[in-house]
Amino acid sequence: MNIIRAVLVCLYMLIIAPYLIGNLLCRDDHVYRFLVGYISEVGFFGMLAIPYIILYRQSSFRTLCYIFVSFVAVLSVVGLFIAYTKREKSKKKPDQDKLTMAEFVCISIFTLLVVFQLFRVVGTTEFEYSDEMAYIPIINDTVYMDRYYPKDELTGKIATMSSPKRLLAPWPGFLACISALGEIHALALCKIIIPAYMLMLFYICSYAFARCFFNGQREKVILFLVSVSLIVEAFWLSNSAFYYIAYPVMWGKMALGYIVMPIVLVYLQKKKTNNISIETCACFLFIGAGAATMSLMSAAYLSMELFFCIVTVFFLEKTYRARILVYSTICAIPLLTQGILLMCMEEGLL
Amino acid sequence: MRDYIITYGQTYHYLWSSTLVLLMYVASVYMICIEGKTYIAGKKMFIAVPVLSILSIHFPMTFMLIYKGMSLVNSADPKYAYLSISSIKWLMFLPFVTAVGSTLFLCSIKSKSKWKYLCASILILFVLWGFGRRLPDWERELNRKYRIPNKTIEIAEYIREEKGEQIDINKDYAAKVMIISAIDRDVILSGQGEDYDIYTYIQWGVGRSLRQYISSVEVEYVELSAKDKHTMDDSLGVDKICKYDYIICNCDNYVCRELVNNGFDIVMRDDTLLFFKRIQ
Repeated sequence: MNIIRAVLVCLYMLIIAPYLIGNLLCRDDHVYRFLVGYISEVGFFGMLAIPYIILYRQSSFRTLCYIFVSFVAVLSVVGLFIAYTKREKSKKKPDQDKLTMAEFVCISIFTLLVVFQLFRVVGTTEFEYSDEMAYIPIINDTVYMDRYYPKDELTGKIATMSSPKRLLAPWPGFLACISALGEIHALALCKIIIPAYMLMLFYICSYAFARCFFNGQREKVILFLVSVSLIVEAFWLSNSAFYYIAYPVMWGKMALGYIVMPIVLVYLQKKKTNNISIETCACFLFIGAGAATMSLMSAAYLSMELFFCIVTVFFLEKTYRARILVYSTICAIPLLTQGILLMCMEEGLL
Repeated sequence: MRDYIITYGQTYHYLWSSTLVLLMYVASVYMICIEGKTYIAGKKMFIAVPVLSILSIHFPMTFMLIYKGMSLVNSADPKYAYLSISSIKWLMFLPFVTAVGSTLFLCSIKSKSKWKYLCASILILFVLWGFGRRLPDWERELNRKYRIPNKTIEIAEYIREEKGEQIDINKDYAAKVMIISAIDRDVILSGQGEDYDIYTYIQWGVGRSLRQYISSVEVEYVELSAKDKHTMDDSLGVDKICKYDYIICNCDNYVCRELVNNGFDIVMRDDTLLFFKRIQ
């Protein structure tokens, strides 16, 4: 029964709900809906959790989980309704070319590498980095104590003062929510389920990036995916410049660097050709909130990326300036809020 | 040779790693500029943003690495080095840019000759895959035997069976554990040798991993220097050790005898650690 519950919670929280929330915010194809929906779901959690944790620090964490799940359920239902009402009538797709031998070989290499990486990421039980050693105890403590971040993660002593880092970027809280709802031990969640999920998310994101860059040319998209999987494989070991991608796949930093930031770039690129819409503005707001929830580093790195996007459009591409400016600013609002809150907490004003 | 790799490898390894990656990146950007004109049209953001991001992070951080990193081996502050160096790893667009460059390169070759295409594919496969696996990483991999704390799971299970997992936050902890690593301070600072591996195993492998398995423990970390190794002074007196339910340590000399004489008994042991339980 516990396994069924765990599977259902993971399926709903990590696959079904992101897709349905994506329907609510995004009118693009299924890949974008899913990616945007996932980041937005994390963003929703951050927007609920940060005020809740700061204002009601001693309150039950499970109450926050139930509020969040209710919220996600409502959004999912609305997303489902929108998807149903605005569904496109099934069009007969034009006959696609069959795979060439070279493409088939490339897809086989790619599939083998991904399966190999999945097995490796799921199979490892090593503990090497402090963040990994911190997150799992935080999730464990949060679930057992029913309070977010009640103890020092390494010593287990009662945390007299909550770390601004953990409060303002409650990525472990999001994982703790899944752990509490599905009754999944933190170790199993963080060492098996989330790493595999993140790796798949990264490849879906790579696919979205390649399709956008190569205008959907199948051969180039396949070659790109093979190259990316080879790069990940080559730099799998720790202490290499790509190790954020491969080694600690459950970190918020990884999700920020290899999922959120490319998607922001791709999505800004796609939205250059559309008009400014409230739907897209909301989408960028939640993407910003999702990034802020995943890692405190978002305030620096994603803000920098958005700044460079604006600079590039102003100096190199003299069209769509207003749209990029508006979307980038909206995306940066949660990041700026996070930065201001951090400054206030560091100065003791909060 | 081994000591050289362990000691100096960390610093030079990062330089080598980041330089290699930067070279790959430059080659990829060159390919994109030559072959990717049709794709870049209207998509300059895809290239300009990664380029600006990488340049704005890579060079200041590399400078910091060279400035701080070279003196690290002597000043013995690997944590600081690690933090500053790891910032270089924020070259987030590198996989995407490098993969785009490789793809365009292969496509440009393919239109000329299939044999060249095949050779180039194999070359790229080796460049991307082979060069990534460098000697220092291989060396690290060999030393990982100390980083897999199998005993930790047994210890956590033992404590959980005896004390339980769920505890009231307002009450005392179910179990208090002390982790003693007796090691020469100079060995810790040098970051090398078997003693250092055992130290990291006890402190990081066992100590910090323990709380991943069981929530109801409070862990205290104590380092004994070589001077203290043969005498229990005030920092680790009898009064202090008696407050703990369990003690994990790597020392097998005077401290262990003191623990046994003061009401502790050995429950588990392996080549690296001893796990004591208070019986009085």
